[in-house]
Amino acid sequence: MSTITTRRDQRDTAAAARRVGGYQELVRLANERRHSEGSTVTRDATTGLWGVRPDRKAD
Amino acid sequence: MNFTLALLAGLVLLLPGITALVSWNFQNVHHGAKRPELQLTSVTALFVALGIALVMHILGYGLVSLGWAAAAQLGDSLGHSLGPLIQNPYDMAVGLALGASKPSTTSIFAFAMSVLFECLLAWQLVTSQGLDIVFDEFDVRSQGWVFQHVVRPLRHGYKPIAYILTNTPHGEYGIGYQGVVADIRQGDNGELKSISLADPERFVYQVVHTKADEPDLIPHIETHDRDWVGGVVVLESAVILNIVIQNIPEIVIDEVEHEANEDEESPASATGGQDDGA
Repeated sequence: MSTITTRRDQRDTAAAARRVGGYQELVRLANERRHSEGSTVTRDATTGLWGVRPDRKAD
Repeated sequence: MNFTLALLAGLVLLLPGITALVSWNFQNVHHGAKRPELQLTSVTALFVALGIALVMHILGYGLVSLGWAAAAQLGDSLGHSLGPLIQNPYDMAVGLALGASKPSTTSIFAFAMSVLFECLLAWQLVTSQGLDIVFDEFDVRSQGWVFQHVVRPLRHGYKPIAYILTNTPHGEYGIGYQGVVADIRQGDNGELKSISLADPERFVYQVVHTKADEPDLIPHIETHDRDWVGGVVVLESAVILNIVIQNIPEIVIDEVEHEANEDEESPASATGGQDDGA
């Protein structure tokens, strides 16, 4: 049985959106990640900016 | 068989199919994207109910006949009798319908148990994940765009985020919302009645046509003053100008959470790294 999002889904997604600076930013990260295969979402510790980088496991 | 008994017998025979319909409608109650209930009086629903009832009775007859044959063989091999084998409940039901035999109470009870078991099977069949997988590609609930862009992606680990612009009461300015899709209501013909967003952001949007200092400006939308509303916002179709649905893979949310947790756990190492570099 499928429903629209559960309360837990909503909480987790909203929490991720708040961390990256909003839903629009989360959508941007998801799109970037989709277009660069084998990459992960990371945060630059120095600038605090979120972005997509090649998977660290592949290094 | 008199009319009342015949009606009762017909209902009993149709019971597994009706159970399947009830199970389908019961799922709909808990379904976020709501559509009206499937009525037994509709031709499709009646056909489905009859089909399921027929399949369940064939299956039930096969299982009961097997069980009765096995019980007779087992009784013979044990060497001592536990009493006479009660009449096969399906044979009893057919005999009763034709007025050929007088049924025993135990046989009627066994038939009732068989029908209840079939109802349970029908309920399980409709609610099973297997059926969901079989019909994964098909919009069996006639949800239209909601199925293709919200329900199906959600089943495959995506979280739907809606970007909604409401009607502009004051010319070029209007209010917009962006948040996780919590619930969608649709009418009889699949038209949108309302959409609910959980933990949304609210913003003012502006349709920019002209600017004094930019004569070659292309008309576009600008957003201002984004803020977190929290809770849930319900938007009726009358106020909605348009909706954009974007799906976020669950893994992106997990990666953000993981990265944030790592930062919180080792803030010193991050600063330490900078110090070393300096």
